[in-house]
Amino acid sequence: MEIIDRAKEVLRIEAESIAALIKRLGSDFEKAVNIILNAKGRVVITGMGKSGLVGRKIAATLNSTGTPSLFLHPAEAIHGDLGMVTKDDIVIAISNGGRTIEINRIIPILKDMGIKIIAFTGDPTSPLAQMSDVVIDVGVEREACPMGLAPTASTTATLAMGDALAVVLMHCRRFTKEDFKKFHPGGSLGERLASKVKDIMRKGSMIPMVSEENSIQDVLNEINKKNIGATVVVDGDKRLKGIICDGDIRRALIKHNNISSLKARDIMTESPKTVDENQSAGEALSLMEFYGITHLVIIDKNRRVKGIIHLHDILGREEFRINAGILPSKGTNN
Amino acid sequence: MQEYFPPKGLIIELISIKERDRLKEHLESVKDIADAIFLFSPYVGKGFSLSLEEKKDIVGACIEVLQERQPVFIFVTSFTEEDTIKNIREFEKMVGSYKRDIFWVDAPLYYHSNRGLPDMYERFSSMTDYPFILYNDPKIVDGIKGPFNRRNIRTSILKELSFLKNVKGLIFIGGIRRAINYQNAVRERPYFRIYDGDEELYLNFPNRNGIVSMSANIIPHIWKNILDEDGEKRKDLWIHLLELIEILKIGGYELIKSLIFGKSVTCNNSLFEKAKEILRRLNT
Repeated sequence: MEIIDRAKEVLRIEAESIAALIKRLGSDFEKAVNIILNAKGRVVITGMGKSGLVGRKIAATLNSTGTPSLFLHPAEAIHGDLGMVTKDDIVIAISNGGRTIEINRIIPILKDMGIKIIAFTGDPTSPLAQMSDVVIDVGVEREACPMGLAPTASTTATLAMGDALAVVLMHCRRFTKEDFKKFHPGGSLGERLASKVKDIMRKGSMIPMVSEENSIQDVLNEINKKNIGATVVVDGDKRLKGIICDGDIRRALIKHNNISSLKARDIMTESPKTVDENQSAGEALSLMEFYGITHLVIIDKNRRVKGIIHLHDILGREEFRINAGILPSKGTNN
Repeated sequence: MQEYFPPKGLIIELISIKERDRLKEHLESVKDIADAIFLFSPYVGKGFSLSLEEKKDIVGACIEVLQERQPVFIFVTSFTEEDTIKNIREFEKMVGSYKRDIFWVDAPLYYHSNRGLPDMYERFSSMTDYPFILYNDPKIVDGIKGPFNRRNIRTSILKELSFLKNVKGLIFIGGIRRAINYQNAVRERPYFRIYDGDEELYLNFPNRNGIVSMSANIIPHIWKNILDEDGEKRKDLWIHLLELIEILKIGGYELIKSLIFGKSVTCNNSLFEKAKEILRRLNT
């Protein structure tokens, strides 16, 4: 019982520490938001120890909500990492006591560069607070750990304040759901990988399909029309016989001088890889990866074709577009 | 008189020693470490048992030694409102020339009920220039209150009191739940200080305003290290300190005095030896 009681006390103290921040929010917070909104550069977050860990999380949250941010380790900063910071950046320095030597040592240098400093501190009278342009009070009345051996309530409060800042900035920038997805391919991908094959496969008239007797011209037309780089080959009962993808056509062109007289059965890959419609998209992706293919066919117990799935149906085209954005652009030597 | 705020940090509950030289010697040893000195605490200072004259002697010695370097908290509570006012008036005559902050520490439930407390402190504001720090301890009220009387200042009353200009803080003794409720009640007054009057509570859930410490009479530097977040060895200190506090609570005034000035005949020998052993561990 004592264990649960103790845990309850800790949670009460932590909850209280966040609730207490509400009363302290004021013009300083607004100032901080405006400084960041008007900055041309990024938000550089710095902090030592647990504050550093909290800082890393806040930087990640800012990044994923549309505010470019990076974490700067104060000790590394002294040894050269300060070069990462430009005069257009804004620095958020996190220190509960406001007396962290490593941080207080770099603040004057940053100020000399003309950089605005926002302090997240529990002591608005501390040296850090005095050197900063804006002070956000994240002080807590009580830590939940004996003698404050490990900062508990104070780090929780700082983290919550960081979230408040990120969300407010997001709203000010009118960051949309689509933007959020763009910065979270992992999030939407995770969702998609968990879904069933039957939920994302192409069905009915969407399935590219030819019979064994169809000409190469028919095959090309079908592939072109359905636009997934392949077509299944079926018999008269729509039972799966094979698959023809772009690679099969390429190989046929190399092998035969004239392919126009060939039939679908002549160039198809027999016994294509299949997947059960109740398997997950993640499992389908693993199969594609294992066999080095981009298509899987879905059949019923009589081998009749029920659907087809392409790599893009799992990973999504949007992700490829985002990745394309970081590829070297035309005309560069990279 | 200008408005001032109670300090944060280490408030030492000074042991009340009647021998003036010894008292001054002890004060000299702790004054530079303390953020404030608390006189006549009901626990370690024999606050209730000293006569007014004895108390005045101690206040005089304290003012002489501190030389306006530290704020002083003075416990003024007596058995009635009138006697409490009398104490304040007497002490005020003595501290009138002291240019540092003076705070009257008052346990109002000792002589008053929750009802009408804000009015009472409004009345006090016309009688004294110095502000008050409330003292909430259900144990000292226990023996004198009826079974249906409240032993704690009601949270809603504390909220009202925290808005009074002459009430600046509270020394709190009690459980963590009440501590959280009290903090919540005074949230709109960021400069209203709530100090932990219970060292054990502070060691388990440290607050940011400070501690009123009895054991700091013996180990002020250790407490200062803890408060200054300067503790590489804090985990060890924590265990030893809790042990020491437990023994000091049993041994009381005689044990603390013996640990400062050498063992007296009235001090329990085994407690004394145990405490000495813990002190050795704490100091290494």
